[in-house]
Amino acid sequence: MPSGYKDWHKGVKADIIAQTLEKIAVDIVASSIGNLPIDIKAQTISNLDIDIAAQTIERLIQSPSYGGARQFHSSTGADPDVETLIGRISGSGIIYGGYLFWQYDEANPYDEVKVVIDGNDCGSWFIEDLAKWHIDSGNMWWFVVHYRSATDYIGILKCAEGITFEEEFAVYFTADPDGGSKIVELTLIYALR
Amino acid sequence: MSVDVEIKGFEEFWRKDKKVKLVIFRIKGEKRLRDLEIDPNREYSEEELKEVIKRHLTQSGQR
Repeated sequence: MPSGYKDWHKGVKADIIAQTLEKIAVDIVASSIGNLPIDIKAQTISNLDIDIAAQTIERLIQSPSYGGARQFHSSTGADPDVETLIGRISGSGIIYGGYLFWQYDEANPYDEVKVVIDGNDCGSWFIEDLAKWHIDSGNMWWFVVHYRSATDYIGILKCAEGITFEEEFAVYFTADPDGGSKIVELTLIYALR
Repeated sequence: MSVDVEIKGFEEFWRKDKKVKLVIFRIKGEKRLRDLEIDPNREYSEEELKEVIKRHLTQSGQR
């Protein structure tokens, strides 16, 4: 310790403060303001457009960034009573929308869709039950019934909008055990952070 | 010239009966995302993957 040097600690202290503030400023840009007991005045208030005294944000615009979005498409056969991975997106991002399309069979309608998000099994539904319970709009489930027809053999489920994921978003399909194999197509519009 | 790439994620899907895996990446300094097909049955380390991407960019004349 340089005890013989008068006021040696003052210089060290000043350096530490400067470094700490720099790091905190980065955190503010990353929008974690709430938990930071810091001198806001020393930071970038003008860029944040926040009324600190009133603790309000005058205007918050939330919009999807379609410019950075990608289209995901998968097409494969799904055998009866076998859980088949139709598609998986890994990373951190958001699903803006999409659909699941398959050969619908009225005689064997118990096809099952399962969604896994970030390693968690988020449940599964039979297509027939989705239709019976009118799970057909908004964000009632991860996929909702959009259209199904026994005459043109088409089933379409619409993907709920705005599903976020931190590690993965995966869709599985199991064809009705009493029916035949089915061709399943999955299309998603998504973006990664 | 050395290029710095950032790996954003992966897509796994089927083209009929063929399983396909894409790595989604961005060249630092660019906004657009790019993708590259990789072996779906192989595990890559991040550094290994970056080398594969850089080699692809060089060989394809994109960098």
